[in-house]
Formats: sequence, C-alpha cells, structure tokens
Amino acid sequence: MIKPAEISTAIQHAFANGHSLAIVSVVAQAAEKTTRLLVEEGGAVVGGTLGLGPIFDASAAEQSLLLMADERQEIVTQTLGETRLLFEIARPLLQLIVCGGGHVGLAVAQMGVFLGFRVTVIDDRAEFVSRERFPDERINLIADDFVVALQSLKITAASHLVIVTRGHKHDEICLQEVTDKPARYIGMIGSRRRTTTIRAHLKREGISEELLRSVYAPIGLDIGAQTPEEIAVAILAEIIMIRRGGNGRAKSAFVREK
Amino acid sequence: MSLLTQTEVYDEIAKAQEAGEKLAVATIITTSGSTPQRTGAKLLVYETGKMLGTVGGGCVEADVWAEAREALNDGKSRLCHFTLRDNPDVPPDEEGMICGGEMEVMIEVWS
Repeated sequence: MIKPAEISTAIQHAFANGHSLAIVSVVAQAAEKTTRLLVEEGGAVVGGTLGLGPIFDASAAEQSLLLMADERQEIVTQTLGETRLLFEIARPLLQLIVCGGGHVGLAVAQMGVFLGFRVTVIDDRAEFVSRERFPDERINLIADDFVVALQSLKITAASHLVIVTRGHKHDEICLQEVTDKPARYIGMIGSRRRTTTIRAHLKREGISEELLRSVYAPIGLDIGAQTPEEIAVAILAEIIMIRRGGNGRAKSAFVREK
Repeated sequence: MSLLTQTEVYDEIAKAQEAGEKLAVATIITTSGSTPQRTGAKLLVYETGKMLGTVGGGCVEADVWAEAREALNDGKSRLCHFTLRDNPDVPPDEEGMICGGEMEVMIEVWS
C-alpha cells in the first residue's frame, strides 16, 4: 500500500518538473483497501501498484499518459479489461515568464494572472518591474540582467515564455538563453524580417533549426492586434490555442465557406 | 469551503494517520444529468464528524457525509450512487435549488 505522504511527495516531485501526475485507483463496490498506481507525465511509474500484475500496471500507465497529454482531463473512470479504474490527474500550476516589463509585458502579465498563470516578469531596468507598475502582488518581479534572471528560474514543461523586451538585441539574448529549455511555449515579438534575422544569427551560434522552428516568432495569433492590450490578447490566445489544441480560426468560418 | 487540491488531500490524510485518526475520503467520480456537483471534488470526513473540503454542498453533501460515517464505522471503502431529485416534501418553487441527476461517489477509509 502506498502511503499518503508518498503520494504528496510524488505530486510535488512531478510539479517541480512541470509534470502532471496521474493517481490511478481501482474502483470497487466494496474493498478493504484501495490499490493505487502513480504515473508521472513524461513516462514513468513512480510508485504503487494496482495489484493485478505488472502487465496490468503497464497498460494503466499507458492510459494515464494518454489522459495527461489531454489537458482537459482531470478525473476519468475507464474500464481496463474487467477492472474499472479511476484516473485522477493532478496538474501543476502553469508558469508564465515575461521578458520585458514594457507596455506589452505589462498587459501580458495582467492578462496572464487573469487566466490563472503564475506570472514572473523580468527586466534589467528596475523602474519597469516596480511594484508601482505591477501592483498585483501575485506577479513575481525580477529586476536583473535578463540572462541572470532566466538562469535563476526553473523552466519546466509547465513554463510559457513571452519575450517582449525593449529591443531586438535583448530579445535575441533571452531567446538564446531559453531555446534548449523544456518550456511548453517560447514566443518572441518582432516582424517577420527581424525574427528571421534573429533565427539566422542563432543558427550560426549553433542552435539547431528544429529548436528555432519551434519558437513562436513573430509571436501571437494574427488578429490584427495593434495596442499593447490587443497584442497581449493575440499572445495569450496563441498560448491557449497550443495548450487546448485549437486552430485559431473563427468557429463560424464554415458558414462563409463553399 | 473550497475545493481541495490533490496535495492538500494527501497531506491531510498523512497528518491524520500520524495522529492515529481514521478518516474517510469521498470523491465524486462521475455525474450525469443536472447536478451542481463537480467530478473530482472531495470531502474528507473524520471520526469526530469534522469535515474538510466539499462535494458541492447543497442537497447531497449531508448524504455523502452520512455514508462516510458509515464507512468509518465498518472500516470498508465503498462506491455509492446518489440520485439527486427534488425533495418531495417541499414544493419545487420553495426549494430554491435545482438538483436532478445522478452521481457516483467513491468513499475510501484511511486508517
């Protein structure tokens, strides 16, 4: 029997990696003891057993991974063979790291809090990450060199990075620092031309094309955003789209097609 | 009372075990029809009758609590079905809450 303290430890361990944890239990009409299996996102059974043999545990683990990959799932019952199982998914808080405390950074941070992210804003100019500028105490502020600040943060599979500093030079520095991190989303502001130049630079610096292709730059969905607040909507809409598996099109588009 | 996170639930169970207390954990595992309850919601019930968390309150929480007390008495985990319907003794317009539908609750005893 897995102990409750081991379950909390496993949850905390998974969250520290930005991973979800599936807690699988057997649903029975009546039972002396409920058996449990813990599966961490990313592939491993981290504790417990359902007590029906290793093959059964393995297929329950496989099912857990599928459910964890679908962010809409929190609690599901499914029958595997002849056994009804309960899958409970504990999900880590999503992290939003905003590089740059300017107009766009401010709007992105505020909107990020609204959407339930744990938000951190970084800028090397202290007055742009002051508490007066970001009065919401839930927003974590770091006034430091961008690279130093990024290195001080744990970037995990639950991290989303929005690079919107005051200039392309700093954007590039931030991007270079994070391309190889396991972040869920990395986006950088800029025109097509400018972001293409930055990609070319970083490729020359030895960063793989595959990593560079995975960066969302120019950042955001194309909704014609102009003001900082609108740009923040475009950026967060893109993050939601990736997370929830949308396509960014108007749902009503089919009406006008044909 | 608010919804408990998974970490909070297992921390509470660990704490109770350390103190030598028995507790029952009720989890809504499925719902159908119109219920104010949410799957995944958990109610922790101690031998003293103390509760932590919520399965949504309203017309069904007291029933879940009573089942959990039963489970604590016989020490056996169980699966319960609840049908939520208008209280026949109260005219619908006076009840003030719409409960219809069914839910399944897993009640587990930790000792």
